[in-house]
Amino acid sequence: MAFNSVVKAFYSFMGYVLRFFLVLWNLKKYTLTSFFALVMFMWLVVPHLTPRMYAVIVLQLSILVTTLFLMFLLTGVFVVGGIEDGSIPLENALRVFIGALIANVIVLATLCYLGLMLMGIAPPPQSLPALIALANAMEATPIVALAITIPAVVGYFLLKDKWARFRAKVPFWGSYLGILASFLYLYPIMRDPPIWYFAGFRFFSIAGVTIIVSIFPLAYPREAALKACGLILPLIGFLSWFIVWGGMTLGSILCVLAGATLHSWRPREVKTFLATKPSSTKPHT
Amino acid sequence: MNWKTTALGIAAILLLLIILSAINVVFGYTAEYIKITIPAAQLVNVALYGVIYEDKVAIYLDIPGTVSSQNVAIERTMTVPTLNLKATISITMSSVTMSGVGISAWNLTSTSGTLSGVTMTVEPAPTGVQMNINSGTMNNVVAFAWKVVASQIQYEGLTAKITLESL
Repeated sequence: MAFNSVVKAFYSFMGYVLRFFLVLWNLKKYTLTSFFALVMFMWLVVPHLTPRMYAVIVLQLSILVTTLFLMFLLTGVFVVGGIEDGSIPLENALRVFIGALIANVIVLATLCYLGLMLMGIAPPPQSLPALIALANAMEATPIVALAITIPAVVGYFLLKDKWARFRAKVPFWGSYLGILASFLYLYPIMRDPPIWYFAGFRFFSIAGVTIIVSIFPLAYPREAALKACGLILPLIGFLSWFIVWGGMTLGSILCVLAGATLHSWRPREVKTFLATKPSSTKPHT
Repeated sequence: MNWKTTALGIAAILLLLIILSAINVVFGYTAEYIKITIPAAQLVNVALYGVIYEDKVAIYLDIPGTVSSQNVAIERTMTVPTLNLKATISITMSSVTMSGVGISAWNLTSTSGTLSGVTMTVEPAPTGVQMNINSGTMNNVVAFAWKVVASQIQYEGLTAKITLESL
């Protein structure tokens, strides 16, 4: 009984958070512009105003502000965009928003821990494989963040209805994440081409298999194919650790996410009642 | 998104990293290179190969026995373009014992040491110069490696930190 009331109170609180987020999102012309200006200020101006001895702190703060900006942008584009084009039913909106918020909190907590660890405040994990995997992931993170943000933002703000119809017809995100994973499998030899001569086969073979399994559902978006690819991709993601050390760590994680996205994708009709006015989403009271 | 597949997949990856840590195995590729510094290493039955393939040459250091050293460092350098900074992430271990080590490197140097039972031969491509060392001590070994394998590694005092330098 007490547990139920706690859950009810939590959902009620999250409902208020969602409403507050929607208010901010409806003012996106101002919120996104000022947030973006703050990001630019942190990267371009602050480093020149602060002494060199604080460079590590400035770098960590700049990364933190950029991450918060991307979280706000991507939550808006994916969750509010999903509600607007009907891919997220209204009755599931709060649940999806809570899921997105939990994912954001995990990312933010990991980032804060990494920052504190590298500044010598938090203890590092006593595991060499985990530290090497983290160092690899840190190098690839900016590229992955940009690669996910660009199509989502261009589609939501510039293509609007066409973007919604395209995603309703083909499993774009599952395939795209798979292609991104195959790019990350090739990342070490793209940065250092001479490795081709000594270990090229294993890099190209796993990237090739991943790209084929990722592109196939675009050409043949049937349920059986999606389920098969949705199971194969996470398996490749796991095996990639033994072949290319997880493709800068993020390659294997993206492969798992690509499989999960493909597995649950279904073709659907685009509801136009909200998609026609993406900027007019009001909080549902 | 299928949450069960996501949770299972990520849990499997985390479990793999935990198992690798528990059984003390390290292997992996890296973009560009990592700099490995071993201040003093006692080496037995070491083989050094100059691997040639087409016009590329690399060094492969094979140490099947056990290597022990203090203050081993693994460094990884990245550039932060907008800040004109070079960020170096250093993972240091106060004491390391490893066996079955294979290092593929572009560059390997040692400032001093003693070697005995050295044999140098030239093999046809892709193996070029091959140097076998029965026993020896190499001080301040620095390798710029792109692939490292250690079938057993035990370490103490693991620390990680970031340092920034102007470009």
